[in-house]
Amino acid sequence: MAYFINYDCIDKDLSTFDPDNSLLCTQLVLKTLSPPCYAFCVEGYNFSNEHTVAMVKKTYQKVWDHNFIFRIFDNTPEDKLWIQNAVDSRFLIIIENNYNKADALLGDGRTVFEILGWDFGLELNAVERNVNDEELLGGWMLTAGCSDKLKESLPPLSFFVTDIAGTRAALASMLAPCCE
Amino acid sequence: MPPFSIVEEVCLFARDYINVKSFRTSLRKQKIRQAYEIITGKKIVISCSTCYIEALLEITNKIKMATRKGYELKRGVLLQAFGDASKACTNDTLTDELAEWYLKYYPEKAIYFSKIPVPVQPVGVTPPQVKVEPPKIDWVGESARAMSDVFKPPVEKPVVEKPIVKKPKRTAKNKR
Repeated sequence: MAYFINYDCIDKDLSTFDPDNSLLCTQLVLKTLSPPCYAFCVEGYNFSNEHTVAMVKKTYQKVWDHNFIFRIFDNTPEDKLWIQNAVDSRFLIIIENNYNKADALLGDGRTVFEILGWDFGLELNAVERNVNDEELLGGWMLTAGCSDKLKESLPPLSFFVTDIAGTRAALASMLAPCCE
Repeated sequence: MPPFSIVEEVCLFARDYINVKSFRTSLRKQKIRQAYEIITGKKIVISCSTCYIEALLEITNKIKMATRKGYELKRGVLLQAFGDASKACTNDTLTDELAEWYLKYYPEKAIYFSKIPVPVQPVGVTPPQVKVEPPKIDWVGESARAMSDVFKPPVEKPVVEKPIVKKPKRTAKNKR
């Protein structure tokens, strides 16, 4: 499962981080705007959502390239509208990993949720549809990632609010009505 | 906290109870009776065929009146109190009591609220058992006259001063 949040909806002033580890986001808060800000869910099927992260060595600094590849197994006008809206957008992605490391001291579930694109947001870098594709059966394959020049300063952030139940509750409070 | 668990349970099956006949079991009727007594303080009247449904509607209406005043948390916020996990809540689980508790003991967390209702000023609505009588004033006699004097201020006529016009003196030049 992945959750897309419009980049402008993130309230960076109220969102908090662990004081000892800037890669651990302990609260992600959305702004109160009109129309309301939501997290929109993209549900994968048989590992159809992929995520890669890579360090990129530039001339003066080393940065991080966040990528998220996902697939839409359909081709309705609503899907196309969604894709077109996504093409014009910049967004954060919260991904849910299957890996859940048990930790009696610090709490289970600190490896489950990650935030991609905290600094600048991600955008769609590639959208493809091959009608004769055997795997997708004419569906869409979309690749979201950092822009060519502006990469992220850090690897994906871990997202963990007190415990895994609290994290899930916080995520549930952000979800769009269509995801509930 | 009032014992709402059974009332909530009744609210959950209320729709099905009203729409589907097979849902009207004796166990559910017993729960409706208990919930009705908790909410209204009265015993349910079971003399008619639709009494349970009417009682259900009454319960759901009363519960609606007791719902949230309008506190809202920003999306994604999980409020937590140190050392008390039962106070943790998101916007989905926030109640008026919890919101007021947080604002009282953790006023700095007000920044996480997207909506805090303004306290409503009491409106002068008289309860039905109270009879409002007009003030007893002796309208006849001196007080009435005094009142009439108050309300009728004396009309003063504006004093118009006549301009003094001096007649020109007759001189030799003026004589013709």
